[in-house]
Amino acid sequence: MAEAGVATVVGTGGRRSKLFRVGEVKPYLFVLPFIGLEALFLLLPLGMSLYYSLFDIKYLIVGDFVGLQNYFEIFSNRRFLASVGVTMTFSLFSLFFTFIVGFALALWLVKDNGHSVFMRAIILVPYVISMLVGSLLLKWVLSQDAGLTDLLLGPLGIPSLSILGDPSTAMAAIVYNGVWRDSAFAMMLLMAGLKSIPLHIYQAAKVDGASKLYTFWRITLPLMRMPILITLVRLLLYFVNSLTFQLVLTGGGPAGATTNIVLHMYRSAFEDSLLGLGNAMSFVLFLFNLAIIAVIIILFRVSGRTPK
Amino acid sequence: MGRYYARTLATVLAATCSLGAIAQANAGTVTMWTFLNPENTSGREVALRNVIEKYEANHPGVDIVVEPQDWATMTEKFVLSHSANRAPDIIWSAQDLGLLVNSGAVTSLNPYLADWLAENDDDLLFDNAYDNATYDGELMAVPLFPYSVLVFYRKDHFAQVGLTEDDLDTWDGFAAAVKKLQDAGLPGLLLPLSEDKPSSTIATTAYMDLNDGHLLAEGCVADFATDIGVQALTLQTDMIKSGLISQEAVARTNDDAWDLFIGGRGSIVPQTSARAGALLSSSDWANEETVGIVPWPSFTTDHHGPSVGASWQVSLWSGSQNKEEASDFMAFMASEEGAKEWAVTGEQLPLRASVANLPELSGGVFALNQAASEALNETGRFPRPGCAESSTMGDWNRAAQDVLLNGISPVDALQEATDSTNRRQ
Amino acid sequence: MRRATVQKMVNVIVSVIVTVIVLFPILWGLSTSLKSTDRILKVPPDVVPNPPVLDHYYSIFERGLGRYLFNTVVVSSITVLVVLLLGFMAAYALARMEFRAKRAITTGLLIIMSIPLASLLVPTFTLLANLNLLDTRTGLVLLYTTYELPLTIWLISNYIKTIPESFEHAALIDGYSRGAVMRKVTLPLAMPVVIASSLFTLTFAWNDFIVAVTMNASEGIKTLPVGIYNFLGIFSREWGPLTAAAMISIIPIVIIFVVFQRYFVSGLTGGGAKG
Repeated sequence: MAEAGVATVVGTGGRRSKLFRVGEVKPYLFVLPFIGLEALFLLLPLGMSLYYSLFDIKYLIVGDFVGLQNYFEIFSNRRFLASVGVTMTFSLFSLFFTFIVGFALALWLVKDNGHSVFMRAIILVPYVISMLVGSLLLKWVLSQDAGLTDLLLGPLGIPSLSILGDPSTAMAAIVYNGVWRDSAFAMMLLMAGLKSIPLHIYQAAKVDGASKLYTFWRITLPLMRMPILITLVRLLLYFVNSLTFQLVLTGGGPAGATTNIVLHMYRSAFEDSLLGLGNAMSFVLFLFNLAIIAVIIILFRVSGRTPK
Repeated sequence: MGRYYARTLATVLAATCSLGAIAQANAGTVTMWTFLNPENTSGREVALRNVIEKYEANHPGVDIVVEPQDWATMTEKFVLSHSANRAPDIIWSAQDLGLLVNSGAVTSLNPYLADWLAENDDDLLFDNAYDNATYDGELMAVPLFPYSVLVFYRKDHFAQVGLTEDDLDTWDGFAAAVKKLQDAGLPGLLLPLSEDKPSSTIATTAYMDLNDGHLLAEGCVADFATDIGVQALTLQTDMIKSGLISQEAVARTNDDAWDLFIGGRGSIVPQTSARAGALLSSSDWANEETVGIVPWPSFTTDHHGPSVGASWQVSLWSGSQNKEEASDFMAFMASEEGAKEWAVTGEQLPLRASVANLPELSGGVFALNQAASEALNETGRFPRPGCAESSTMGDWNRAAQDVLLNGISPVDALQEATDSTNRRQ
Repeated sequence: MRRATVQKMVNVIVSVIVTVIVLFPILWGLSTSLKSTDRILKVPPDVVPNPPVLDHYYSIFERGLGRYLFNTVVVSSITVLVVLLLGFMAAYALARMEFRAKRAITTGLLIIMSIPLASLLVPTFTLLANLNLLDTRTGLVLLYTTYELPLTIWLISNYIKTIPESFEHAALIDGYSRGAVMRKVTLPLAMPVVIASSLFTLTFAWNDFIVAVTMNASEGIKTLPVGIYNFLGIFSREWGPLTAAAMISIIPIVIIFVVFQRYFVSGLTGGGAKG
């Protein structure tokens, strides 16, 4: 029963209708403004930054052509390599928790009643508030001086703790910041997916006597493949490229424990004014991002081939 | 292939660069970028408005247009605007003058202000600020508000436990004072040690003291991984290990430490003297009876530790079409009339001897400014012109963090700080 | 009956816990915005402002917040409209039309989405300067549109692919033009994703700070996040005005979200997924 529904709702992506097979011109007109904008304001600057990455740039003034020397310098820099590790740790933990929390919230609040609408609005507030202000407020709350941690942990017999002064708890703090802000984003995307699943499929499953758990694993999850893919890719790209959390909440510290690639790049480019080096890092980061997307998509293709 | 690609890009680049790039020059209009907004109500901003109004009244036909900027990105944006040939005539800067000069974005003031400087030399205070703004004999900026990172302390807390400011003369006395405050249940020392927005610390001050007052050697060369470097860094890390400074310090920025001090959570904090006014207005306890400003400690009683001086200053865009008018206005901002506005209305350290003794400058914030002014004159060391020093403080903080949290030896940590600093020059 | 009551209670308890966790820092901000300057950093802090004062709210409007708000509204609403228009067209083409570059564009979307924006700031500044778009609201709209289009197109085209084509067939057979089918059949069916993606665009445009602070200088066209950031002055962090401005900036966007909830629902129930 359910399988038939899957085919009509989700499976049409592969089929093409003759009616919509139009001439070669019209689709290009449809995508042209998009391509034009991306070419001018994204690809051209990207090309320029790639070009600049081959130069020694000091004081924002382009100096000698140095070839790949900036790239060699990056990969021989211990701190850059450490920032790659930090980026992966932060991104994976944040992704895991944000996705779980976001999915739970989406399932909880998917029904459109007054309570859900209200709760969704509340959960959305951290996402819509300026990241800068959000992280500043969170820093205030998490700092030892606020006394909140002592208040919560004191009764448990845990001695006074400097969350932001210790490498591992500082990492936990920025992961928390990420989850706090972006669970709403995951919730929204996943909820849009949940809502696109026709009710009759669930009704059919109910008639067939399927348990809630069974329905979730066998109907909801398979039908949610695309929304889940979109959510994961978007969140991961977002976490890998995050700057504000690190810059505002932890300043990349302590001892570099939360300095990710972007913060390292930002410091090199804007604080040290070493733009050539910064551009080289950003190009490496770009390749890193591409690799992430490729891995996720391949994982999905592989898992998609397993029989339902 | 690679070469072809690079050449294509270069062509595109050149083509886009030739597209626009028309400098707009309206005769009689002088544009200025500053972090102050003359429409606002703080003392400094009112002072700027007054200075502009006075100048425009004396010079009909000249229009001073201020485009307020975000202070943190102003210098970089100015250099980029200079490359695009559309920068304002006058730019304010503090510690980034090197970037402006080295990028060629600002021009020498000698052709315009040499005579003015000669006439006013006797009255102008803070000679070091002028030295700091002079490159190869060319004056590249006119200093307006000098300031320095000094030690703020709570007079009331000190009195409670029988301490005086003399106890802060040496590092031993400093540590003992912090201990005494802590033992009495009073708040102690707030030291910001984050890599973000770094400023002078115990370690950098002690190092400068042991290194003839300089952070960097001639030619902007850093060499921190030495015995005196280790001595200075260890002085600071030992104070954290022994609990005189909270471990949370490694996460605190200058702003965080300052907010805690305003909130009454500290008895000693290093801070820029320019924030004295904000302290009085945003806390319910601070007044000239309860807060004082002293120079940094040193290892001996015969002198105080060095402080890093800096100044907000104004420079002239090298592409300006109005250099005469613009430089004339710059000189007016540092004239006796301008200096009076900055000192009295703006509550800044007085620029001129003739202003310093005005009767208006007494009590409240002016008392703190007086103390800061004396400390700056006695211990202020302005960085060597052209050296990129401000991020070096961050390198030292990173070294302290590495020693405390990553178990790296002080020498190795300082070697990394040395490399980071030298890479930037 | 009793099970329903227990469920209801659990629901309420979870709601309260989630609300507290989510809103705590923000309520702290709200409380701060209502305190007088000399009480903001006081220790121990007043949990509830005593007495609450609106000084910071008055002062931020005196200091040009109304203008910043106006600029932000203009820039973000135009951005949302342009992104939707261009995004829907392109998404429709990718979902429903056959053309040679389609596969390349679909892959290109993913590649474009993985470009780290922070690295583009400096070349983009030079580019805008040469196009005479520096220091303009138009420049910001173009950049935001460029940055948000790929996600929008990806979301919408993936969604359209899940809508059965039979509705569009039926409409075409009834004599509608292809444009009319797009507008009258596909768009309503895709409404949930159109609204969801618009919210993402809006949030980005509303909150962007780093692009705006780099590209724009003049006071007259400053947007809200840049105005907020400026309260983190060199001489002090002005927590009162900062939090007051942040609170003001949240209100419109939360209202928009609550209002659009209805369309979110109607777009679904009126759509084809029901069939």
